[in-house]
Amino acid sequence: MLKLENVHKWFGNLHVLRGISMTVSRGEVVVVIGRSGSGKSTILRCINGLESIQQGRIIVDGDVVDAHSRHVRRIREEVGFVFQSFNLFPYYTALGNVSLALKIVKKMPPAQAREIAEAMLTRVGLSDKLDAYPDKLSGGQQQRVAIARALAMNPKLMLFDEVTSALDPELVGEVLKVMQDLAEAGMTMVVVTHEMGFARRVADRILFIHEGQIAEEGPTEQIFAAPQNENLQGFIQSIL
Amino acid sequence: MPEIFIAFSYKDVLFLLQGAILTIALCAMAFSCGLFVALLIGLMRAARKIIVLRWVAGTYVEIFRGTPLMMQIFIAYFGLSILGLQLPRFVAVSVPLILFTGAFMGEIVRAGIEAIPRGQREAGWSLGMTYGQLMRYVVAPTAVRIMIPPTVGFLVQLVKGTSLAYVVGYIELTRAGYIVSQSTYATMLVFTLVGAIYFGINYPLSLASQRLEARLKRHA
Amino acid sequence: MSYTFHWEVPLQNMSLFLWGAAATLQMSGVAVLLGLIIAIFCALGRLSKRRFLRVPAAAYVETIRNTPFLVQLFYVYFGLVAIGINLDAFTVAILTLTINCGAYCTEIIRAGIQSIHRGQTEAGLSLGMTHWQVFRYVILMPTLRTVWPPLASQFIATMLGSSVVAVISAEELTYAGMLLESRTFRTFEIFFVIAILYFAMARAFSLLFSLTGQRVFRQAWGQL
Repeated sequence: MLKLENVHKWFGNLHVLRGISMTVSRGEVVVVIGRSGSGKSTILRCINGLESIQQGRIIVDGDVVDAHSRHVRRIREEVGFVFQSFNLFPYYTALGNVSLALKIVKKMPPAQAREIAEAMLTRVGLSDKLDAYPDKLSGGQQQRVAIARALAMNPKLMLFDEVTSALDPELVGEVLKVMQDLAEAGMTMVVVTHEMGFARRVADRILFIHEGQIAEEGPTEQIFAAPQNENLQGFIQSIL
Repeated sequence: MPEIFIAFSYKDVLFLLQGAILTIALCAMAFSCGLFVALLIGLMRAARKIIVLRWVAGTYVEIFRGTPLMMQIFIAYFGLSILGLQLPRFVAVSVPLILFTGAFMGEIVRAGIEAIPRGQREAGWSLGMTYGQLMRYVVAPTAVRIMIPPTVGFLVQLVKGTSLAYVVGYIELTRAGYIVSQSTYATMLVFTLVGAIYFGINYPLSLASQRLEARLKRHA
Repeated sequence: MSYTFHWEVPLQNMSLFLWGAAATLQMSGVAVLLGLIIAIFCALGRLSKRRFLRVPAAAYVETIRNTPFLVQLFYVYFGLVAIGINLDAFTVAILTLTINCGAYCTEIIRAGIQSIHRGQTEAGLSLGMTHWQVFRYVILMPTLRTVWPPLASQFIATMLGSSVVAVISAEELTYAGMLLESRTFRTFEIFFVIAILYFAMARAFSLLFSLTGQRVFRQAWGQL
């Protein structure tokens, strides 16, 4: 489904990704953990072409991702991205946010787009907030709308970039619940997060990124029970 | 009888530079005197309790921002002579510019004062400060810093505004340029030079204003 | 004071002034509308990644904003004559006003576009939108809402600034005053009344734009 082959990225002189290679199979849930600045968010942003890579290849379901090409737009239709800062469109209602791309990107007729949007918002538990504007929604609700917006496009792969980091603690739960339901429904997900509890419950595999490289990876229980890499050990200690 | 059409020479450049100097002199006069007016207007506008003051200053500002500068210069210039005052041209032209500066800078002063969060003033009061002390030690330092970028931006407007002294015959840079262009064939060259001089004065100010504003935002 | 005011001079000639005022509004309106079109292109140009678009746009804007309008007016007026094009003063006035207004509007629009948080653009792109679609659906409307007040101010500023075109004898309100003045020499009274007319127009339009802005942008226009 998703493959990264020896990906390198520089931000100016800063070598942010140093030879990242990873594979994600269909239906797998991979959680990426690591300290701030280790490059984990950058990996996600490179996958859907928001950032370009200088070396290596990223392949999504057989398509090579080239951030500078026109083709990347097609790939983005199939890859859902949820941002840390939600990035909802402030002048559209929840329904508007979710249905916009369906109408203009997938060229759906408005009635059909509306149906799907309503279904998605119901799925994330916001069927009563269809006509609300983002500024009237709590952070958790906004993030759920953002998830619905990405889901509505019927993606093959969902990327979550620290989606609960900007939320007040009591709102985190509702978002994680939606993500867990999504995982159990069989969505292929790559999740960057600090929520270790979530990772333990939901992830099939964990990747630990340290200074731009995959320092350790493996099945969830193994990582938590017997971390090999000392950086990882230190990291887990500091989190728990 | 001197030649009517002479070739453009360095003497003309000197004449233009003279005009430029008078332009700057006009700005300096307008700005320095206008600052006092501005302080007065700004404080009046920011006065919370005395509505009359706020209203008077508000009207003053509205008049000068709602009418063309050229009209202001005309009216003041001819108005002053009606009042019987025979002022040197420099002073007569300065008066409307001073009032103009007072209005625009007054708004900047007001914005600066009002940008201070109420909490700081309350802290000052709680410590027993008088209004004067409050203004001087609590409000002024921060307000002045906030006011600097828009002030520099206003200076650009002022420099451009002095060009309108042209209409009453005062020989600042634009009028000088016109005179030279009428006596030589080099009209385009003259006005390009005039424009370049204005640009040379204003562009550094504009850049400075932008940089100062950016610096202000970073420290906020 | 040994001056007797003759207020009847301007007051009896109000029809002349109103004709002048109409010309002023016409001039300003055209200048702002055309200037806006220029501004949208220049704003995008200034924000573009390609240098050959960015640099000329920036040069245009900075040159206009840092030189007096009067000098620009002379430049265009004498410049056209030098090339051999002879336009009437009214057209030259509109042309110069448009060029002037375009530069200021560029900055307004650019600031409006940049005020849109970058994340919105990324969100749009991530959903598979083209850059053009992102511009149209995510950036344009919020930008219009943001730029409406400064654009209104710019219209008023242009209208007030248009008084300068009287210098090249373009027919508008100030020039009407000058015509009357050359006949009657009642400089003070004439221009006092004219100033009041400008003031009245400025206030009226300020109110108009404010009310229009509230009506148009308060409604929920977010449903396609």
